[in-house]
Amino acid sequence: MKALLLTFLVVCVSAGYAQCPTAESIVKSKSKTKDSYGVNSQSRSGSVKSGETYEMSFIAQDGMDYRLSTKLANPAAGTISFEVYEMIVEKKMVDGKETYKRTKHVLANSNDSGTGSLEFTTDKSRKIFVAVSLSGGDPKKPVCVGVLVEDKKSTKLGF
Amino acid sequence: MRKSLVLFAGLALILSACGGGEEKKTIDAEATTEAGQETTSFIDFNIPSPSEQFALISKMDVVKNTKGLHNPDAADSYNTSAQKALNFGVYTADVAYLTSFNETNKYLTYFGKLEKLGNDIGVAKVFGTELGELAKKWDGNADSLFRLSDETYNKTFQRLIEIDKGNELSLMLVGGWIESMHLMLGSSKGYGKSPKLEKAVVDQKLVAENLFEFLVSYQDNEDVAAYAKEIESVLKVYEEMDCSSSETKVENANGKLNFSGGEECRLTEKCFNDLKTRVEAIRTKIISNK
Repeated sequence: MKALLLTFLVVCVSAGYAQCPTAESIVKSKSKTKDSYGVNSQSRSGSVKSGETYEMSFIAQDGMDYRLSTKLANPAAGTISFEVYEMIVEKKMVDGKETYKRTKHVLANSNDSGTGSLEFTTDKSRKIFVAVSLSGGDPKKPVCVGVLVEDKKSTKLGF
Repeated sequence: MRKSLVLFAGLALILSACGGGEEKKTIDAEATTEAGQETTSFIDFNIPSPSEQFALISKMDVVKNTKGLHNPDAADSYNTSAQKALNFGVYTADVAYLTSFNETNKYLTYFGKLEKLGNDIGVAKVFGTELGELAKKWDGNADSLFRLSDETYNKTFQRLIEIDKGNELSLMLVGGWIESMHLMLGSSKGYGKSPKLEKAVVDQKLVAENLFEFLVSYQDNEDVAAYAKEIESVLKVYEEMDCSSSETKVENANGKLNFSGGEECRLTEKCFNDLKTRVEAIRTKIISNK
């Protein structure tokens, strides 16, 4: 009986901490037409509850085009919105003393994309942060969210 | 999934304030605390795979340096889990370098060592029979082997998360990044002669910062903590760079965003040489079997 109870508890705990599927499997639909973008190794998935935010950071390299897509593993579990930002260190004078302050600089958000995907290119390598917020749904039930990072080599136009 | 507590307070802020000649300042504790209070949250930090890095670097002003690769025979001499994870990372960078530079003749030897160490650290499932067969089938085909290397890295990463081996994953990332830096710096034609490569080396500061943040999540493990300090020492060298900042601009061109501006850094000769020295010291520690 004790063994049975222990097994039950282990299964329950394991289920609670179950891993999310890969970002690729959450975001990419099998029927989607292939294009020149390939999956970047920095794609991630994580669990989030309604009212919370899942955040990840990746390095966008100079010379590459990127496409960012976010999706819930269970689309009926709520609505997600995302924000793409970088952290800026600013030098300020406070009471005649030089201090540095880190501030968030939003580069784009889901309103800019309108589709859940965002395409961008960068003139230099930079550290990008992605924050995905979940609203609606059950605030007690965690849901898996995928942040798919895809890339391709930039094609430079002109001479 | 691993979650990491962002410890921006202190180190990250200091690292971002790179040197700029007379402009270089040390951030005091008061300012550091202020920044830390603003940004404490949980963030998953990521770094590009060695394949993603070498795909760009192999097209730059570099010299192919396969002599810099780690000796594949040494794979049999590692005994501890930490050594195996670190050197698994080293060999992932080596196979990425080989395929990026169309040097496929040694691929199977290195892939075999990856498979051996992979089995030892618990990711035998990644290799199975399929990947081994593909490696043989595609022997000599650099593009296919390149994709295979990237897939091996990604599947190993995912598998180590699935089986809750964050310590091994951390060490694999350290080994892979240090070997990538070693090969990158070793592919330079000399300071000032490979400006594109030097720019790529400058960019590695961002990778090192994210790697450090990743390691912080697993600092309870003494091996991970020790290598977090080593990465911190590399970041300290990066402070020698000359940096200037401008506002980041975002332009929308037919639905695609262009990000420009931000921090611009230049690698000084001293910084270049110091990086080489520091990276070599850490690599020697990783590949020795002591």
